[in-house]
Amino acid sequence: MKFLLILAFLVSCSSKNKAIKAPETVSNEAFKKEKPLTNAQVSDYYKESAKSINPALQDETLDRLSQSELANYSSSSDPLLDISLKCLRGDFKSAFSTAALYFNRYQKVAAYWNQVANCHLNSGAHRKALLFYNKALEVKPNYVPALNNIGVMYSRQGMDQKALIAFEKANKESRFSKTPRFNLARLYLVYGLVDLALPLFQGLLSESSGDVDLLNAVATAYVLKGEFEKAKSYYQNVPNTEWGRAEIGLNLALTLKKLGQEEEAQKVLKKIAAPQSIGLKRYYVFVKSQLGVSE
Amino acid sequence: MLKMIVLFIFMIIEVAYGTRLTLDERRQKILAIVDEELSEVSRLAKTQDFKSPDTLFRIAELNLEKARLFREVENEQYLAIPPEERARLNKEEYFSKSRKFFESANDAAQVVVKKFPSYSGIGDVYYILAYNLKELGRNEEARKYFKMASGTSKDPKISLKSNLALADYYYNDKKYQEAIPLYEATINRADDKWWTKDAFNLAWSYYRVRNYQRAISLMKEVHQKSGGKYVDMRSQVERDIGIFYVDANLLDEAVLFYDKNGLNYTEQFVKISAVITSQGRFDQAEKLLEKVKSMEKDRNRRNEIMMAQLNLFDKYNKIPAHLIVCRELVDQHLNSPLEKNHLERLSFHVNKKAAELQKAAASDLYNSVPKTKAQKAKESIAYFELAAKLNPDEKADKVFYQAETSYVAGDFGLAIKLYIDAFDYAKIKGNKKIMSQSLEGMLSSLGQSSLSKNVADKYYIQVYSRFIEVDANSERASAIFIKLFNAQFDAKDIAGAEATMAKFSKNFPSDFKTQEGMLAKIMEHYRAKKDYLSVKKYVERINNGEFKISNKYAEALKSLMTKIQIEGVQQSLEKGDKATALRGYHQIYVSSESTPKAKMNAAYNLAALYFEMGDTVQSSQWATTALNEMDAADVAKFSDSFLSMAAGYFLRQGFDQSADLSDRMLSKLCRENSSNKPVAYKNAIFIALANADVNKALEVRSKSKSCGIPDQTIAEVSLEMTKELVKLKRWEKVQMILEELESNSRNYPNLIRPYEDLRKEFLAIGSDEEAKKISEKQNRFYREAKAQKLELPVDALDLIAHRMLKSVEDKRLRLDQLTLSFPEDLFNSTVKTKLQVLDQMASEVNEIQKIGSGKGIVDAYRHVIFAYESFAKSLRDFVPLGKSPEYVESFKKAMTEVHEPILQNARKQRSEIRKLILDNKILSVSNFDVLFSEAEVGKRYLTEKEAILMDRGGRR
Repeated sequence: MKFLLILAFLVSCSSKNKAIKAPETVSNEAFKKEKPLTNAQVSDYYKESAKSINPALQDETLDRLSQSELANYSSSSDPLLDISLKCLRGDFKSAFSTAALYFNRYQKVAAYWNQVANCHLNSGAHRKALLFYNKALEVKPNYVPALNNIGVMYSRQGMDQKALIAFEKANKESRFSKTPRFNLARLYLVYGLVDLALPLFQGLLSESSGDVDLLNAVATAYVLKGEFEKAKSYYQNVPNTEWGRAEIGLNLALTLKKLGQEEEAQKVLKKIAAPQSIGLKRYYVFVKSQLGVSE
Repeated sequence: MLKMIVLFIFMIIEVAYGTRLTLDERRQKILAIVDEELSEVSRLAKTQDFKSPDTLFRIAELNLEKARLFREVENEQYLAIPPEERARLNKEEYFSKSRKFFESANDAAQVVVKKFPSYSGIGDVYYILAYNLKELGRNEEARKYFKMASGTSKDPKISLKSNLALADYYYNDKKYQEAIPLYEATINRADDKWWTKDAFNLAWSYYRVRNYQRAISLMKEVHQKSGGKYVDMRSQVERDIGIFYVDANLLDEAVLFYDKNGLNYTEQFVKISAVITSQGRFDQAEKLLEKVKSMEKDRNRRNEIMMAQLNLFDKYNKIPAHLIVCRELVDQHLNSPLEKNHLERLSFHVNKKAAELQKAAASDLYNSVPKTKAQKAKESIAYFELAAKLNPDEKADKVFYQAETSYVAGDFGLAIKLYIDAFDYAKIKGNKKIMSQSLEGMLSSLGQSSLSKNVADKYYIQVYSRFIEVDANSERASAIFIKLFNAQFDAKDIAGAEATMAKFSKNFPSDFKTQEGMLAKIMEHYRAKKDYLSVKKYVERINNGEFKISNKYAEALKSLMTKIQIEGVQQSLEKGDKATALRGYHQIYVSSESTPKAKMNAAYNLAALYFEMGDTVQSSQWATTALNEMDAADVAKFSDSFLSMAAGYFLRQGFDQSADLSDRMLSKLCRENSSNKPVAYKNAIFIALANADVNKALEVRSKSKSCGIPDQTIAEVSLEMTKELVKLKRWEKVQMILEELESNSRNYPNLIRPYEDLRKEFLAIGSDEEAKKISEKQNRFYREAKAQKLELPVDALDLIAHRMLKSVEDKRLRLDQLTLSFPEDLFNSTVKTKLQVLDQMASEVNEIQKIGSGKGIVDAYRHVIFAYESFAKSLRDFVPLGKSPEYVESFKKAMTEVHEPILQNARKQRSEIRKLILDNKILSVSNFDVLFSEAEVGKRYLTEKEAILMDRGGRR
């Protein structure tokens, strides 16, 4: 930023005489810039981990946690966590204020910009989100969370093929990052690419064996492959309290049905709460028809 | 005889001649007696036949007497003639008569001498001859006869007179030693009236032989005896005795003598000094006068002595001494005026010397002896100074001459000073001539290369300021004004420089350029001193028309005002005292005295400072103010900074501010050739879209053409806008933008997909024609893009592929509609037809595959696979009606060989598409249809949760 010192010209138009008062209380302290932190100076993972049924990605994301699980986190001295929590709780305004407040300190930290972008994405501002993801990538090229999240953004916009490219790139950048693998596997599985999805999910599950979503995903993969015994073995590791979730219970019921466990299948089916999404609603109908349950 | 005749004739003529002269009564009586006797003696001589020496001697004596009488008259008449006229006359003519008688006397005496050498009275005859010859100027002959008379005359008187005449001859011949005994003999024996005269000569003779005592003593005796029966020689004695005293170094005695005789010794000594001066005895005269001067108490007499000193010093050019006397007299005069006579003589001396010395100083003669030249100039100047004191009315002239003298002597520094003085005195007297001449002298002196800079610097102001007093309007004056101004300014005489500038502007009102130059210097001076009040006053004077300046300078001046207003704040900024700078800029902005430029500057800097503070709202407000008040060129100049601010606002979550600043920048840069213009344009639109403010984006976009935004940039942002416009169902805008983009064929690939949304909308509202037109456009765009080998977006390929699938779907439908039935010919024909259609489908699938759409390929395969499987199934399940079991069995066996290859082909295609899907990771909703068997179709992995956002890089 350069200051305009001496101008060799004259502007003839008059300015409006605004009633502007000089800020008497401003001191030079206000101009002292906090030395920006570098990427290396900021721990780029969550140290805390809440008790969750989906613990697999907890050092990378809070996105899989329920509001009750998020309640275990408190605003700490970590401004990035603060922004994230406010955002996940829907308090976007506060989240952005906090972000602006810590601009100087974190402007060179990719995690900061990624967090800001996530918040915009969650608020529905996809374009802003993309701009800030790009900022994160500018600060740290090929920053895996930003690459992954661009994929998420596309996915939310229904552009799964583009999302796939982003996830693949993120995964390629860091084979050990869990979230891109999860998203990649999920996308494969959604589109029936079981053989591609299954190794990824199993790999994640091996790192976090109790993760319900991962167990469900692996089990579903086996369902799609028609390997119901294997599927059942994974479902059995899913707490039965979770069976009522349509995304788990429907394929479990179908598995049991395929394994000839009609009664068990019906029991599971009955536990399933009516799904909200259109896709699951249709699938619910499909599964019921498979189980011979009429509407 | 002849001589006698001549003598006779001579005697007659003399008688006749005598009557023509006018003689007084006494002389006439004497002449009558002489003539009577002469007539008688002449007759007697004739009768004696000229043989009597006594008679001839008497004739000589009588003629001599007559000659004396006539000579007296002739002398009187001659001396009565005015000198000028007398000088032109022939003197001989005036003395011709006496000369005749002298000659007659002489002739007669000569006859005696020749004829009667032993004549007893021959000594007297010699005397007459000597006397006559003396009168006739024949001195050598006269001297001879005086000696002869002295030696032969029996008459003691004649002898005495002869000796005296001889003494005089010696005396006149400066043969004093010879003269002295003759005089001594004379005065000792004679006591007639001539004694004093003869003694006087003897005294002088003593003096000449340095016998001062006798000379003085005799002089005193002459003085004593003078008067009475003696010729009065007192005045001569009084005149000359002083010399004797002086030479005898007996001045005190001289004074006593003069006092005793009631004489003014000063006067005498002065006379003496003149005499001895004329004799070249300068030192002696100087000492005499100095001595007398020391003795004299009377002012006038003392002054008279000094006058004599002046004459003396003048005569032998003793300038320093002359000058000292002049100074003394001038000082005296200034205290109490001198007598007129003294004053006039003093003035004469002073002016004469001043002029002479000036002339000498100016002469080339002394060029080789510069010290002498300088000395003469110095002395001349001193004399002119005295002259000025003596005549104050002419002081200007005299000082001017001093200056001129310095000038010619090459002392230009002194010359300038004196010219200035002359100018000032002349000014008092209203002497314009000297004023003008002095000015020329000053300027000429200033222009001399030998004049040292320090001296010149000292006088520039004095000279130039005087010049413009006299001439303030000429072309030359214009140049002098400038020189004066610069000299005053350089000498830090700012008040003087300002006065000069004011006068210049009054006299040269149309000379903007010079006035501007002067103003610039003055104002810069005050600015540098931070005397802003003075600067402002000048601005007011300029605004009031007191100074005429060009528009260009007016601009520069306003710029200066701005500079001033900003300067203090700027210094704070440069020192890092940003808080003070911030307050200062606020003050500048609100001050009614600030120029628009200063306000603009302040606004900009406030924007920058608030930006540094992280106060997006304030920064944005000030940036907006600055932008409003800047012209386009300034905005272009600082566009990088504005872009940085806009980006900064965005990063600090100030999206509205960022969008607004970008838009304002664009508006300002619209007509400018700035590389930042397209950046501002894109930023303005993208941030507006990010803010979900499509109207703002449209507004910005409306400036595209008028602002000369590159087509590529317009296309880029327009395509993004259409996405939002489609979401908002603002179809008119969508159509407008897409149609605009059609003008460039390079946009075709990117228009196919957006047009699809519009086409569907037209279909939805029943505008089939419009939908059809769009469809045709899309197809054309696709073809032309392929022809141009332009890259097509995947969604466009998907769209085209799906459009081609329509034909595949139709054929599949047709296949479904072709029901197998007997009779056998019909069956065979239908099978054949179906196989043909399947071939066609396979062919079309190949075409779709070439498009490169993953989804299209999967769908195409799905249709073909399903068609084959369906056909195979229909063949397998077909039972000819009304035929025998054997026929039916045979028929089914035959059909097995037909439908099995068809199923095999379907499986093969499943395998192909599976490979394609996995290899290319095609995410198509049709994947399940082609990847899974019919029995497994329907199973899905569905979840309420979307893809997972990644907050952190994670623990590694």
